[in-house]
Amino acid sequence: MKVIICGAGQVGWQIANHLAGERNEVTIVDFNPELVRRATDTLDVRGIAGFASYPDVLEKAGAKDADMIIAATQSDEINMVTCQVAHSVFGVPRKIARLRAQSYLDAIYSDLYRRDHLPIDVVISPEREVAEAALQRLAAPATFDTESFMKGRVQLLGLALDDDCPVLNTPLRQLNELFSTLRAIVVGVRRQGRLFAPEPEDQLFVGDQIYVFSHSEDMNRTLDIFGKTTHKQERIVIIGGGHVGLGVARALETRTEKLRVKVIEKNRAIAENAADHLQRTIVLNGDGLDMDILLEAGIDRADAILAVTDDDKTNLLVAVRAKAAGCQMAIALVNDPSLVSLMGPLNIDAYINPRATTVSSILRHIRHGRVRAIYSIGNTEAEVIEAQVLSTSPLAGQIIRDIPFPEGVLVGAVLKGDKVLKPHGDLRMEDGDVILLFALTKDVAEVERLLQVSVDFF
Amino acid sequence: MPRAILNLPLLVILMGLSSLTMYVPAAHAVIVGPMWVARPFFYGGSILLICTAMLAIATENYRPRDVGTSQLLAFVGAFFVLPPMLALPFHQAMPHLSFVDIWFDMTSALTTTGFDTFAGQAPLPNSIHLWRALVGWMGGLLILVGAGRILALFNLGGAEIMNAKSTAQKGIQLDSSQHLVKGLFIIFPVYGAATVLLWLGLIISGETQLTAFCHALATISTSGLSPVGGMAGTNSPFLAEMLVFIVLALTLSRRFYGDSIIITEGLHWVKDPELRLAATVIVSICALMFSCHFLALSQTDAVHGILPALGALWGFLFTTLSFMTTTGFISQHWPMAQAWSGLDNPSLILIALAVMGGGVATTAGGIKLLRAAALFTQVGRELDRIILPNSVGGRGKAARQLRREGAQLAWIYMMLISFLMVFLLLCLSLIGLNFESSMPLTLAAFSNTGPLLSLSQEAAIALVDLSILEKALLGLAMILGRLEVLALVAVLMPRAWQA
Repeated sequence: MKVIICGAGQVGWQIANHLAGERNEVTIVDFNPELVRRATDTLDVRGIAGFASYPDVLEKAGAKDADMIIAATQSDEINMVTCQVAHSVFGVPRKIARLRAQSYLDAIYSDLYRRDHLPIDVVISPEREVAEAALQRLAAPATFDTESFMKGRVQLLGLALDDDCPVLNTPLRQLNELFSTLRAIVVGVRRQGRLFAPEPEDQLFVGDQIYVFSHSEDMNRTLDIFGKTTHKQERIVIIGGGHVGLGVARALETRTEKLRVKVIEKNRAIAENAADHLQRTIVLNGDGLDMDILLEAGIDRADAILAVTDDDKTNLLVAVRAKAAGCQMAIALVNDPSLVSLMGPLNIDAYINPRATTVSSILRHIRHGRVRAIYSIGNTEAEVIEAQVLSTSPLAGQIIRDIPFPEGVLVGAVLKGDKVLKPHGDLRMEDGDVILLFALTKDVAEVERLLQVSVDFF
Repeated sequence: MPRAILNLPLLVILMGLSSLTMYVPAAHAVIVGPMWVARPFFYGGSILLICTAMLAIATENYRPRDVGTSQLLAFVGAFFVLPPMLALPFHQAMPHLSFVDIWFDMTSALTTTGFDTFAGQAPLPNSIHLWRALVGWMGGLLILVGAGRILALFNLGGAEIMNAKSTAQKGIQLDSSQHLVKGLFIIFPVYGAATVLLWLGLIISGETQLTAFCHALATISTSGLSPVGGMAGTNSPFLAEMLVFIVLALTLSRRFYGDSIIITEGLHWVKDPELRLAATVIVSICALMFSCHFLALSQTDAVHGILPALGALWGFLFTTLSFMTTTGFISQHWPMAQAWSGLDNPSLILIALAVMGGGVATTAGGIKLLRAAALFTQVGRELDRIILPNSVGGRGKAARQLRREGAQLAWIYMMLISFLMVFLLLCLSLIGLNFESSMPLTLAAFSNTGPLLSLSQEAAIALVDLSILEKALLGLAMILGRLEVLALVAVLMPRAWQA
């Protein structure tokens, strides 16, 4: 497939990296020749330096026979115009644009992105993606990572096991027999910093971080079994009243249960803007690192703190400070993936990586069809892939036991028709089934061969 | 020709209009008599018209350096120049009344205060009643256009509360009274239509023609001038009160006169701070007074029953609205309401309402609802800040403006007017008026609610018996209250305000 990616920033870079790795023909367009050169040097991509919205630049990038264009430059307007040019001049069939400004995203304008208006097939908003991710983290407070699959019917839960866990030191096979009605399966264990796919004889120990696939209806039971109590979150403090913080606060306001949300924002103008857009939420103007402000927000009695300023270090420090002051749970927004390893030592419960969220959401739209969802775990240690089984695939017609999955791959769930089934060895894969796989990064290529994504779909 | 007229100084135009109006009572007196009233109005109108024409010719080529400032001067000056002019034919028709009394009455009419100056005197002819109501009506129109088109230009008259920093309107190049005519065209259809409809409605309800007309004029202009001593003199009180109530509600906010003429912040009318405050205050006061009945029952010989209850409720509702708009009509059910509540003197609440006043840039007087709303929201925010000192208030830019700069300016205004009230009170006491009389007089004059005097149960104050100095002071107080003091301050030191 021929893909043009406009903008070699962090998001564009990551997508290019992913797509190039899947043997697609990727061209990167950016007006900074230095960035383009770096991209062509390190990635298996072609590069064009120039303004992405200029038709001649797009033509040079091969827009004439491109299958898809992804506009991920800094400017909303350039992204929009690029999609328009790609549509009107070159007839590129699939157009994805990243739009930040709230006004472009508002529902009343959703009609704008129709084919005969402004032809954008998929609008990706980093802020909205992050807000959604933040809400997901809040919804499952006991987990350090969570994501839903199969249209919300299956939930991936990342759990850190402690002494309270009643199923420690028990082989997984035994657990399976013990809770035979529970539609949940442990697919990954991170022990002493190393992530692996567990064997049936493996046991769980204190300090393990495990990834569990659970049917959404069984989520609370699963959390119970692993010693996590779900208590209601009523008092939430959000640090940062920008797009992300405001988005989360607004989403929380629409909930029916009574929440007490407080937003702390340093910039007076942004704080006022946030206050104007919120009804019940209290907005405080002040530095989130200031203990007095945190106490004013009632951090000592808060159930969760969500640090979503644009500065990673502030987020981490605020989260640590809040935890020290007595907050139950801390979630921090972290842009720099290398900081993720600090989460454990700093005792921060969960993190959101906006870039990863945006990339995974763009990738999901790109691989729309056969691979329906993809989620990157940890610092790209593993991926969760939701894919449809094709008749041409080596999987079709086989029972799971016989499928030659590599060592680091586990089947998490199978969707047959409308039913989510817990996988077992005798389950036969058929054409049209949807399979949810957990795969360590080194085995992803093999999984994709099994799914035959790149050849068949495009 | 119209262009030439519009290029004349505003004051000359206003004088011409006042002179023309004098033909209305003249015509009325010719038709229904007595002729001796018609003559002075006809001659007075004609002579003043000739004088005005001469003035117009003299000032035809006069071009002020700054038309806006000159119009502000004319607007303020109108309240000093016009009353003696308007009093002239009145005095000629009723030579036995002193000119000062008539000047006082005309000032009270033009400022829509509506003191019943000649209460207790020999009844005035009908045409004179018509003239007083007409002057009040013209005064109301003058204030509506002036507040929207002249004061707003200088960030005065309530505009400062909404929009303290904006000087957007100052950039308009004015070269004539054209923009005032435009403002008039926006206001007049509503103002005129409401008057005519109310007039017709009152006639249908069974009023005599004159009473109906005068009440219609007095209601829309909130002057409260009545030939029959208010609502008590009407024939079918309930229906008339109903109709008057509806029109009074219209005078609460500038919104009802067409949004385009006066600064507005694009809020839906349900969210208008003035209307909200008005509704809250009226409903809570009515509820409070109504429920007082149940508390005070044991202490007084209060009335009981469903019908008196309903009557009392209506009495509260009508009278509170009437005093909030500084009109001062008292419902026929007010005595019953008073008896129902069992309170000794609920009139005090009405005085407070009149001092608070109606909406900005309307015919109502008082401190104005918008200023009160600004102060109330500010108080609310301050209470929030006691709990959360760093919290940020929401509800949009306009609300923030109202709470900060708006509240500050409202506070300054309130202090200024309170200071002036105390000053006037001291002056009146110094001259020799007793406290019981000077207090209601001061409040009535500053809030432009003449009928306030009839509320005082002690001893009716005979305005005619006041000394010339007292009348002059009260007249000045009415003008100050009408112009909201600041306009006069602006005229006195224009440099300071332009800087």
